[in-house]
Amino acid sequence: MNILRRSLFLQHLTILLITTSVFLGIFYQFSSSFATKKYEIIDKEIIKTTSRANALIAYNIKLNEGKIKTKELETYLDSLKSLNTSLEKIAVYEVVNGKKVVEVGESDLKKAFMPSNNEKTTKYYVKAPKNLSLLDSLSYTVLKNVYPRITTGDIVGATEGVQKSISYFPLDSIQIVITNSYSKFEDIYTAFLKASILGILSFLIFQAIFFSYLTINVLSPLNKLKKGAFEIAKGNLRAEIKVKGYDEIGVVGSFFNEVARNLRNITSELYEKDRLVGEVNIASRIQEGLIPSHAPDIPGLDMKLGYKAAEEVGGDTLDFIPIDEDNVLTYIGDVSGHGVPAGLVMTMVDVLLHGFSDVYSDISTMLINLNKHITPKIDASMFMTLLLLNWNHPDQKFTYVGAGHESIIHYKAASREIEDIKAGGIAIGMIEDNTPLVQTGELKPDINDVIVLYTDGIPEARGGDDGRQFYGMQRFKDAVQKYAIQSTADLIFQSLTEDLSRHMGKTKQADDITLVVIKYTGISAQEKNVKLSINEEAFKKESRSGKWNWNK
Amino acid sequence: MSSPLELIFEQVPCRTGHHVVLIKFIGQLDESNVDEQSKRVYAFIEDNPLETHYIFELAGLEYMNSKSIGYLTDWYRKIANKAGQTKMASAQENILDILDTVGLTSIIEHHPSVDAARISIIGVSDEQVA
Repeated sequence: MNILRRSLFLQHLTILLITTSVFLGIFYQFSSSFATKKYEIIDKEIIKTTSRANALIAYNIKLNEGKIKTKELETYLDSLKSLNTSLEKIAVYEVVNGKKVVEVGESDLKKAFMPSNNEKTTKYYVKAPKNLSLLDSLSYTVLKNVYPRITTGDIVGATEGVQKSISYFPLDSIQIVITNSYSKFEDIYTAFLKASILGILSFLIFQAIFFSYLTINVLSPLNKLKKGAFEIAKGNLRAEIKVKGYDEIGVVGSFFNEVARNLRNITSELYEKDRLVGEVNIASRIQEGLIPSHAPDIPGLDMKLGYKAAEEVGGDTLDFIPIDEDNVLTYIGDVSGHGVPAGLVMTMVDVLLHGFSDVYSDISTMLINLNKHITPKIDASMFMTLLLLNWNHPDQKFTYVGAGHESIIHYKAASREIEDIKAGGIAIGMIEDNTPLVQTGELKPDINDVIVLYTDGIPEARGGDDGRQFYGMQRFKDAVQKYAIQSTADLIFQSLTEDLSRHMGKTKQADDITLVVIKYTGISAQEKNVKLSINEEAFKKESRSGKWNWNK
Repeated sequence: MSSPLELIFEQVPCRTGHHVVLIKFIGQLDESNVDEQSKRVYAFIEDNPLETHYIFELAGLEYMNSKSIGYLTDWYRKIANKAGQTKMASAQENILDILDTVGLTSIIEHHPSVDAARISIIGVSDEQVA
């Protein structure tokens, strides 16, 4: 039986016992009143009401034995008195052979009310009918000795022939006049009072039992729960409470321990997650340091670039590497997927390309060696597209080689047309040796031509009304064609990214995005002889200033 | 919510006795479903015997992301390791453009139809066999 049921049972038991006690008390009172059947109350009548609370009540009582000794009468009267303990005085009177002979008058009552000789006991004055002749002088004398205050006419009777005693009253009924201090229902009230006292005592006893039970089985465990909760609130997640049984408290206790255990696990996971987030943030910062936020100053090239990762760590890469006084290498790449795995591959490629740039001057050789070293190192389902472009300053042209990367968009200012240049090749990581597929190409821009490099995060950016529509290559090329006439790479870049943002709306960015806009401004004769002197360390320090944000 | 993609695996009847199977891709392969769906293809390749040849029918494929291209490359390697050939067939223009760009078509042949892909595997048409 659980706690609640036990508590309810105890409460119900208490109520039942109280009710039983009350009824038993009442029953006792009434049954004790009629325990001796020597008299019966025939009726009651209110003789006189002296006040609201006091009344003279006449109890007409039938004596069952037909006759009664004086002593017995006193005893009976005492018994009658017990009908109601609140009776103050008793006056008696009555009769012979069922006929009321003497009226009970106020004077009689006075006598009745007045204790004789300051005795505390009640005196009973009995009057005999005036025509009663049974009482002889001797009897009278004897009687006077016994009851000194009895006067002539006051004697009710004596048995004929008995001279020294007045043993019997030939009465079959009497009338007792009493003063009731309360009301005619006082006897019932008294019975209830006694019963109530009994009930209250029972109630107190059972309440004591009940509260002892509550203290042991409910309050004490609840207190333990409270202490456990405080321990957890203070940070002690090892706090547990001892659980007994399977009642409500037991269940709550088990639940509490379970919650404490879960809190420990969750906290542990949160610590672990915090640690991982911290590591990812470190990786993100490292990667930010690998991707420049702006391009180096190269005569003839007005460049603007930007990069935005879909997650903390991205899989796109972009950089500029000075090769010698005449050549600067730039590359843009995209590792399949995104996130940490893609970021790791991107980092490997970045490091290798910087190393190769010190060893190889030819971008095709760089790409072949890059594929050779990367392919065995990455997961079979991963690959990386890459586009390497070498800017030769004296010739004012790009030489490029592709590894399955997106096309180069070339806006020709003279004709205002777009040329989609496929660099070809195969993505790094797909085959062990990409030598047969590596092809180089050249791009020599005219003044005000615009060259756009990008990763597939742009054409594959989703948006539109349902968030499912692709930005698409056609819209991208149309945008390049529309905005390429603007005077600077910065303005073109801004227009292109705004158009992309309008398409995406609030759609979540699904893939990393990298965009490079190069506007060819041409060079003067003097500038043609300038030697590129990019201080790589200074460039790195200057250009790596954080992630690009579309909205800034 | 993952994008809808239906994968259908079929046997391609060949009178030459070659064991050729067809995998139809219908829908979109993107970040939301590519990892889950690729497991079914890996399991299918694993369950088939040696010298099973595969035709990936891409007519119903509307979009594939770079990760799915990576999986396609890996399936090609696993099939080759079990002495099988891999062919692609009926890709839509935008898909074929992506496959061309990354250079995948240089290692996995693409054919305009499933039948053309089947003939490239078995060497002759069913009519010639008959």
